[in-house]
Amino acid sequence: MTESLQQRFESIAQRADADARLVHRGRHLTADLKVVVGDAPYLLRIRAGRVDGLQAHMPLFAPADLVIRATQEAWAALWEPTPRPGWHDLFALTKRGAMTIEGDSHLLFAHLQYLKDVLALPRQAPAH
Amino acid sequence: MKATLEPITGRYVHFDILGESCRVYFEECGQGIPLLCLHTAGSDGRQFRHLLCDEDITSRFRVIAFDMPWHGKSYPPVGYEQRDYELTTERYVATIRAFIAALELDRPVVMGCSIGGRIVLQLAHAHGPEFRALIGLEGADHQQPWYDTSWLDRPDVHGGEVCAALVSGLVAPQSPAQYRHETLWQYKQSGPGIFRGDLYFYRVDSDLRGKLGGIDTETTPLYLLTGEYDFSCSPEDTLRTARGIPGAQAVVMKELGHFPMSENPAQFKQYITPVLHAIAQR
Repeated sequence: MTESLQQRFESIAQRADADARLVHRGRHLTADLKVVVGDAPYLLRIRAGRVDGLQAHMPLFAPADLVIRATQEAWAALWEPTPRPGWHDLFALTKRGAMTIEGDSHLLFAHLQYLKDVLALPRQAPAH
Repeated sequence: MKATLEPITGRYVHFDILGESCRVYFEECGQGIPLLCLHTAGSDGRQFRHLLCDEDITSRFRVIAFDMPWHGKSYPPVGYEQRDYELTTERYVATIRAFIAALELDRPVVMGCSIGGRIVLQLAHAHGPEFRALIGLEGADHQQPWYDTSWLDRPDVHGGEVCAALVSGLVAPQSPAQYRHETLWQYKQSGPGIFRGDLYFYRVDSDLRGKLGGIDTETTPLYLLTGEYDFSCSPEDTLRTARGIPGAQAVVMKELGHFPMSENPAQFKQYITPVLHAIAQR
């Protein structure tokens, strides 16, 4: 994975906590997500809508409520300022086979917009 | 106080659909060729508010948009609480034709989006001469189901939130925030199980592949327009459908998604204007 893609993903923690409205919308969600960017797994800990931790090198077999896995190409495309057709949404990526989302589907659908918005945060201009 | 009154008028009309009395809300504006607009699954006629207020269109067309029963301001039929809502091809065609008869529209143009884009193909196939022209937005003869729609209608997931979140990805990223969120608001307001019930038609009861023979586009021109960001009814789905219908005209619309008329009315106008102009010139 390129350094910039990794940095962009890791910016989610800062960007999420800076967005009070996003945190409010996620206030009923507490979950651990395994997010795989290319071949790099992360543990994304969400507590009451806040990103409580973003840990690289997730331990093997650590439990997660959702596992979201996509190629580097897919994440990079999703985070373009104006993403291309078919690469612009989690479900667009899933439908084209560039992303998989597995685990607690109830949690996914109950908090779908919040999760879409959190994972799209690196699309914004640099946070600093 | 500054106030702006829109030219749209809204009324209710009562008529029977498949033997059931329905109270149907519709809005209209303009004079000329009747242009009947069909909303997407799980939404309502408000999607066409920009068209209804566009003098370039209403100067030549009587634009009409109705809320299907179970949608918007149209109630479900009496006894709805005893059954789940499921839109079928038969019910959808009957609803459209009954509305046209109720308002005594003379060979209207019908323009539908999504499920409305699908049903115009069936109208072209089975009832073509009744229409002056047909326009399918985000329409195709079939799309492969790609997710479990049961998540759209269950008591432990907020129906409005999940329906809006699901379709939010079908709005193009270029669409103005105001109109993106108006489009999503209509999904947040949809009745429980209605989006899913509409999708029964879309996914189960209307595979039109190989069933669209005999469409006469000389008598009734057929236009298919699909936004490039629509991954539900993709441009490829639409183009494949058009290739199977001699004379059908297909256009892929840039910087638009699944809700062209409501998500970015200015962008959509660039594409729909030449179509309506061609229809008016006939």
